[in-house]
Amino acid sequence: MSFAETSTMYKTPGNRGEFEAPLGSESSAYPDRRTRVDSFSAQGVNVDKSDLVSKEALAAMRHAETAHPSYVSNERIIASRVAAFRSMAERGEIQV
Amino acid sequence: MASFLKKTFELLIGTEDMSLPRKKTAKKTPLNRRPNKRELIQMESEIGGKLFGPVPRGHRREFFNLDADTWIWYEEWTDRSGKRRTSTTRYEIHDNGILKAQEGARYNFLEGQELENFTLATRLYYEQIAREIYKCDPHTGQPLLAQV
Repeated sequence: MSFAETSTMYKTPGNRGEFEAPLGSESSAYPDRRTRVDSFSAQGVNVDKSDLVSKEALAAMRHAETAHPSYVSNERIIASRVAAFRSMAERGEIQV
Repeated sequence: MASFLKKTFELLIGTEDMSLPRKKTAKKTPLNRRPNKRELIQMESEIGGKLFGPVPRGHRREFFNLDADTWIWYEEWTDRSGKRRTSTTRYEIHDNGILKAQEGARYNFLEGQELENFTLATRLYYEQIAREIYKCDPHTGQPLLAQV
């Protein structure tokens, strides 16, 4: 199952964020999903809910939750400074 | 007189070729014109390739900033069967993290130690190219000579 497919699968009613609610939630906002789990259970399948999405999707979600923007800002600053040096060298303002 | 002194000097220490074996140094020929972006990236990538320690024999490594959002790690080597191999890894700066894209591998966001190593490498890259290529203080951006 692709990441795109799993994203659609957990799209919540009312156009809320696709991954707004935690995976383990049994909120009534997710009737389709709960039904799906219950129906699997009824058939005697041991359902591990984390298996309902791909490992990549879970990893991406975990990352989104823990991502710290400060290092991204630093990377952008570094890249802009490198670009500035290059521009100055191209204009002849810096001798290389 | 000058030739006599030269001869004496050579007798004492040997000829220049014998006493001072010339080391093959990769001395850069300064450009007699303004460099273009491609040339600057090439210069930077030579420094970038050395940030991670000695490059194994037979390997060629480049690490450089391609544009505002992209860093490239390029590695080239010969495998045991004598076949030339290459590997290119692209690191993309996104608002929510740094995405690593490799040929034939899954895309993934950098995390943990790998993320730390990457951020350290880009910082070192910037500091070294600032000093060695652009002759500027990496913190102030001012020319190094002007600060002496």
